[in-house]
Amino acid sequence: MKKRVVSVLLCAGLVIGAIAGCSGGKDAETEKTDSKSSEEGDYSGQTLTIAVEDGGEYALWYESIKSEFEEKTGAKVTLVGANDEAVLAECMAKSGYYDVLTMDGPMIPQYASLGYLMPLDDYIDQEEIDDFFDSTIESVSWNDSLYCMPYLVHGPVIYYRTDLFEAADFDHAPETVDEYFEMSKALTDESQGVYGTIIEGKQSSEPVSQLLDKLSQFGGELISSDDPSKIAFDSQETIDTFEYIMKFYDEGAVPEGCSSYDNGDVQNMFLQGQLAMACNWPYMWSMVNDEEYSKVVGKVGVAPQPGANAVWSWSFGISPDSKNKELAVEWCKWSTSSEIIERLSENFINPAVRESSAKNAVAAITDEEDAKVLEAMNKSLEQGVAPTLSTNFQELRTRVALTLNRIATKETTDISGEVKTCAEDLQKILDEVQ
Amino acid sequence: MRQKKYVVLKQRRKRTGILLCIPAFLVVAYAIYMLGYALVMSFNSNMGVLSGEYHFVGWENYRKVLESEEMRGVVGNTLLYAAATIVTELGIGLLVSAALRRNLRGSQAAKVCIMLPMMMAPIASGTIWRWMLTDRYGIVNHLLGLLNIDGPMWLADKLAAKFAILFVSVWTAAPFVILVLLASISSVSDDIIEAARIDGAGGLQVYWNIIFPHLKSAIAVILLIRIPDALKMYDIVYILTDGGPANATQVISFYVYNKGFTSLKFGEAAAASFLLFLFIAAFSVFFNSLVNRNKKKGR
Repeated sequence: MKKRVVSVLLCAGLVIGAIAGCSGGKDAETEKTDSKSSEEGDYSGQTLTIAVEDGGEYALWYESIKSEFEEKTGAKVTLVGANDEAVLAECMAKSGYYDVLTMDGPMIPQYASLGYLMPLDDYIDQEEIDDFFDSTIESVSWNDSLYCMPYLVHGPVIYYRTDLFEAADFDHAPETVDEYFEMSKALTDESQGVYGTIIEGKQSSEPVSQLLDKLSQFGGELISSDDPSKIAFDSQETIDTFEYIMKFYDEGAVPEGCSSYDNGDVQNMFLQGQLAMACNWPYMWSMVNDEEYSKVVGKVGVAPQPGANAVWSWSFGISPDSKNKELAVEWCKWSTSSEIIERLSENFINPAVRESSAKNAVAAITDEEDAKVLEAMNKSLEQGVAPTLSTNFQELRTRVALTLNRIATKETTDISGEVKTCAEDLQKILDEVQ
Repeated sequence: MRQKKYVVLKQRRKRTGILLCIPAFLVVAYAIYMLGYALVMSFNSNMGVLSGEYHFVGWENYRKVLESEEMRGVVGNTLLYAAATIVTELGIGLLVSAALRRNLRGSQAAKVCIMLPMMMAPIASGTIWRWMLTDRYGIVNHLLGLLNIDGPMWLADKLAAKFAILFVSVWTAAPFVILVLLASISSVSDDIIEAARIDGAGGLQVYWNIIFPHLKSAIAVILLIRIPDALKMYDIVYILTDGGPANATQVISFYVYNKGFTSLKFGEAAAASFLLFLFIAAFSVFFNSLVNRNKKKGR
């Protein structure tokens, strides 16, 4: 009997120990740093943990310059590669493990409404905010509050092969959607293994971003910008967009299997010289010029997409559970300061989110080709349309991905019927958060 | 005096036994904690889970999951994959282990090669296969092309995508099956086989009447481990197809992940995963009792 009691107590102790072990992160975190900074600008002894996109180009860049911030503040900065799931789990646990979160634009409404992001209105001077382009600040705000500081707002641009264009007697990049199609078709040469372009069709969130570009070019929307409680997907513009996309598939202007392709495939094929044109993100420019991976170095031009494109932001926000809020605010200010944004813009040849940085970056670029590329990217920002977001945008995107894939794989040829069904489902999803 | 020493020794051994069991207790305690947490979460509202509060919603999450049309397709896919994967793996395992038993020239090298997929992380092998199966630049279609075969669009065509998932999951798991069967088949005495041959038994007869009965308990172990594993398959689907084309390769674990981390409906995700757990647990209990009953009959 005694032995049984001992065994039961031992088991109970272990269970309690395991539970305590799982929930004990908070205490450990409390010890991690002391939130009180002794004096302004002196944060020595504090450690700032920043969740960044794992392996992302911009994360690596910030890693390379973080020592400047450490010198300035005396704090230690740790950039931790974290996927969305890891960040979400920490936010749900209110652990405050990550002081600063790198935010992908569509996630901001969701995180802000759940209280996973701290409003920054009281911490950033209006003068600072005024230097950012309006659209960039809008993309990181929700319900009239500023939740993040943007370091990048971008939209896909067209990368085109100048040598193939020259050979085909095209003297300019496509300026209309029809021209984009005609050129894609004309530049397709299956015998050489070269295709005009790729219209991504994989059942995944990335191709939906590309779909929203096309949708904006046809004047359509996912969520109504006039009434954010309404889905605007069931429209003639959406049907036109899908019919336009299917023209590429039906007339062989894209590889046959591209209904299963996403961003990675586009980059692979373009860098291998198998595509004449590719709609892709500004960061692909540095990949194009990397001789180790690219077979098309020196043969590529960049142009904005015809008429319009969607724009998306990347930014830094602060966890309300952070024990180093002041230091986190300092990071957000420093990492998006005019000087840093200018350097980021120059380094990646990417559009700058601040007016002062944009001017200086353009002036600082001496290479004629790079200057042209930056001009095209800035144009894409000017013509960019920020999609209306919702607190469950991810779920909406997942549903749209299914429809895009069903149409691209010709699982259905009834485009208007599919669009209607999708729009009904989307409205139900949107209604859930109203 | 001797009796007293014996009692002390016995007590000391028991104490040592309990101490040695501590790691196992920890694992079990953690598993129970996680299951309990998932169960509690499955009765919480989706918003409650996200906000760290508790809003009891009764069976609501279970009802939503069971009524969902998507879930029905997902269950069908999962069962189909599990069945197809296990049958194929066993078939390959039986053939390869029988071939390797003969210790032909090159058997050792073949054994090492067969084990290689087991040493790779599924996410890494999935990524490699994703590129190899891509229709434009993938090596699989390139090799088929050399044989004048027009390879399918592995990841874009519904049937081909299902086959691709099946193929990659078999490639990943078959080494385990071969390894277990090979260990079992190696213990069949050569003398018995020799005696059977002297009595006039052919190769197939020897295999079916002597070797195969010997493998039954190994097959039972394989089924007990691999069926729950196959039902929980996630990483290969995530890397290869993301559940597409048109949901054709969605499986339960992927559905649970999407419900939780994409739709942030953790209550429903917990309900779906708890249902999966119940199914696997029921299967394991049923299968175990079946094996035990057969063992008793055999005695």
